[in-house]
Amino acid sequence: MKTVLRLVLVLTLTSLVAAAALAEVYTYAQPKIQRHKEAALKRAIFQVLPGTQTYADTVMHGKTVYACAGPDGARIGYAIPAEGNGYQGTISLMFGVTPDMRKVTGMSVLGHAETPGLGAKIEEASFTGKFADLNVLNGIELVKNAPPDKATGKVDAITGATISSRAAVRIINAALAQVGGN
Amino acid sequence: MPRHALPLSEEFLKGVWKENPILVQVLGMCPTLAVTNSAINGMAMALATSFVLINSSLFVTLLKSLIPHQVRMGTYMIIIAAFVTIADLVLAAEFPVISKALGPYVPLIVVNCIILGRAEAFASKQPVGRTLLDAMGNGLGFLMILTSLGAVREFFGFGSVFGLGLLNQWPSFHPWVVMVGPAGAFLTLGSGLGLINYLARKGGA
Repeated sequence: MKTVLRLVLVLTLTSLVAAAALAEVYTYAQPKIQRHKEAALKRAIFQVLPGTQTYADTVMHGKTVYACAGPDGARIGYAIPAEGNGYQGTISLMFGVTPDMRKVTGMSVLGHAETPGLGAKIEEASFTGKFADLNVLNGIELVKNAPPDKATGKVDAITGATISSRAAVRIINAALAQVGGN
Repeated sequence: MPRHALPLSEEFLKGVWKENPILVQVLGMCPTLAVTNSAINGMAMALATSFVLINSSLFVTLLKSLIPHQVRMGTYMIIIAAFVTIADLVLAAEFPVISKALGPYVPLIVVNCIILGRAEAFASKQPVGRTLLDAMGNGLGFLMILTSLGAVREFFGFGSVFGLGLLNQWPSFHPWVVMVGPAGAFLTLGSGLGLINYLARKGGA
């Protein structure tokens, strides 16, 4: 009985001290981590919807989006976070659309686990730039061996990273369909 | 020869070379293979691991007479898990970029065999001073190998070392992509292990 009591006591005390120490570290770290998250979100919004001065989150067909306003307070569009499966893991990205949802204004990859040097190129400006000012009335279409065309929503795939390129396009199309109410 | 007869300098240095956690003990392979795709990632991972290793060894050795034999593993795990969580939170708060690059591998330090191995095999039996030297030696040995693995893979895969452009300044440079992928980790570690063991055998015993 005495041994059991001692076992319980030691484990309880160790856990208590560890929990107290962790609570202390958490109260110091949490606000900072939160700030980093907000800063990253802000950077992404300003990047996908140039000219944004203020933004507020709102729910659209069950999806949280950021309604963005320009310098004069008029709505200039929505920044929409979206994620889905890539080649090796989840790709999360943010893209901007005009208020009428006819045009994508920009795209930024927030996180991915694609192959370095190949699929990882989806986060580079050479790929994200293809989504700036892109007409998406009929969704985005990924093309290979054909010229891209912003007026008809055609984006060409990265050489050697078709799966990652297709994943990015599919994620955006799915999010567009959802906020469009389909 | 009784174990404690080892000179103090040797107690520190054995983890760096003769009993190096990677080259000789072959422990902690998961972070070694997973996050050494660049020199800075390898170094950050090893520093976080060393922080946990040194602190948990210190607490284990200080508490060794109080911890009953039957629950020693559980107690060690609580101590180790607490320091891992501290390392994870501090990294996320102070170095968000590195924290994001290391991803789940920081919380996974909790199952790193080097740490529980040193706690069970050394810290739970040895005095405080020797335990600290042992933990620091093992940490340094781990740091050396992870950083150099990262540097080699980054050099071939991205053409840089610590983000400093070297090979990639050369116009016809083409990155050896496989080196920053998982296969590159096995190739580099395997060749390194083979080479070092060959040289050690040739030179020493």
